[in-house]
Amino acid sequence: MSEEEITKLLDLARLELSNHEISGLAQQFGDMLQFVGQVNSAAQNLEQKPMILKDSIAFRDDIISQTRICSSEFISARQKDSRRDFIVPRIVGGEARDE
Amino acid sequence: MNEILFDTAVNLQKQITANQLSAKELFDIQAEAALKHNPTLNCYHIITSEYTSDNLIYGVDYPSLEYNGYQCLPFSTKDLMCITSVETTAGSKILSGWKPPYTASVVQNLFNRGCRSIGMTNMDEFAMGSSNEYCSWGIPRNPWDLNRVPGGSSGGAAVSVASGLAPLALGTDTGGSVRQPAAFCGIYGYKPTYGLFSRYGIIAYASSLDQVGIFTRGALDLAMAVETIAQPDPLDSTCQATSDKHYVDLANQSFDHPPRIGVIKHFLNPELVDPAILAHLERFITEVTKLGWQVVEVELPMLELSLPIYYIISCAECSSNLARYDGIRYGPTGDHPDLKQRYIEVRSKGFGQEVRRRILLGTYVLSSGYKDAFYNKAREVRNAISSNVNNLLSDCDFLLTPTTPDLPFKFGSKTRDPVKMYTSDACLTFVNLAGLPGVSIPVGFSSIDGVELPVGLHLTSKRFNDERLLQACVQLELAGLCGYKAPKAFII
Repeated sequence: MSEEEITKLLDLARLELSNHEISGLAQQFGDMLQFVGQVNSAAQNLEQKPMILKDSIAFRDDIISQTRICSSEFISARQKDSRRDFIVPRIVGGEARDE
Repeated sequence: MNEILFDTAVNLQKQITANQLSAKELFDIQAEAALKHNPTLNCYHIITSEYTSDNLIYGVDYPSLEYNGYQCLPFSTKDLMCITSVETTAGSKILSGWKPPYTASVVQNLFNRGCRSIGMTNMDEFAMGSSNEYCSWGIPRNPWDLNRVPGGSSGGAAVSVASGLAPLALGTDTGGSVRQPAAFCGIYGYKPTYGLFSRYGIIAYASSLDQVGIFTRGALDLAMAVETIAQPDPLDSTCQATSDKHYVDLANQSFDHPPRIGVIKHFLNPELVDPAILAHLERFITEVTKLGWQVVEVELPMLELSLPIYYIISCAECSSNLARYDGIRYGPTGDHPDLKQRYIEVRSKGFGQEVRRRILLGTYVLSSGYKDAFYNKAREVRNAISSNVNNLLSDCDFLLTPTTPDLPFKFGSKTRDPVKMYTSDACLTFVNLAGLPGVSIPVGFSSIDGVELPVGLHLTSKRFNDERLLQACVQLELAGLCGYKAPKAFII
């Protein structure tokens, strides 16, 4: 992986490293990508099978599961003030300009 | 020798119930030992008995005779479990001085039963590491050889239990971070089914894999702790615990039929696993067969992909979870006038090298153009591995593997090569990917250069079949196939 690509990634991740650290990381990162890249080649022939919910882990972002919290807990919960969702803090600096 | 320091929680509980020892006396003995040995072992970042906060004074001092869970006993807490007003840093400079305004549910469940935390144990920064060498507050040392790592990321927690500085320690296990240090330190390390323990108040690393785990010196101690900690929690929607299971009673029962154990063939390879560990595995198989347990060799397709998949998924999730440490929401407020530069300044100074590496890898696998090739592919293979493991577990009661491919290694021997370090968890990550329960049991020692080093073996079972796994631990301990031994150097 090139040092330019590492610099671009660092910018995306809001991080900064010295030139010396970037060159060290470029070599390590290449090894790490080769390591995790095994998945890509090995999974080419993976047979797509739907998975039964009971076999999956509890955390699935593609399936809506039934909550175990009882309805009385929902009813007794403090009412949410939905107006708060729309209060946007004033953002200063480059981020606001990007928008 | 102060036997109390190395006794099991079951025996300590008996002494307290029989009025031979008070909860306060026990806590004071443990806290004093922690203060004495911590300069050598560095397992605690903070010893909470030094605090005078009201939050650390709990009313319950006498155990209930009707309750056989963990009560009125001390424990240590990994430094990423929030306790109101107690500094919680996740082993990172970026959270130095941060005092949470709330307490993690698992810790609160122990507090509710009169238990007190001795201190916050050292860990790899944000639980990213397998040796505890990435801790911002110094490296904990293995009590069996002070020149060797205790394992990680919950290394401090494992050391606290192994060296008699706490009878129970709470850790977290994202890809083996409880079971691997348990094996390195010669104690029991248990990771429950994903969803059995609440994660509320636990500083997140990879949310779909993180799970609180426990370290003890006795098999039944695990069941005692699970009985207290596994409670329903409306504050964590992934928590599926019910309060109707009595783990101590269930773990104490003998099996109604001899269990069937599947030994995963992939790990019976001296090129992957240290031959000294394989020798223990072979001896163990012979012994359990004598108990009448059935042992079969099994194959787990795509197992070799579990480690790379684990790193893709955990790094992707960590790059998202750690975005909150920006100096605005968490972390020291920077002073740069430009907001983006302020984020960069705070994060670059606050995070250590391993955390930065994993955030970058996560950013890469989630970036447009690479997401399908890495992250989405990894999710597909994760589901396939989960199905394969579940298929095996419909035929076997337990799967058996070594806990670690290596014996505890020397400081600095793997830090220069991240991929080499990652392989320390090679035998364990499939369990986290499938959300299964797993336990490392201490089965003996191997000698290197005249130093005895602990060896652990690992058992896993079906999801939410934790009581069966605990039952196996108790039965194996009763049969003399596993058990704790105190490290000589720390016997007072």
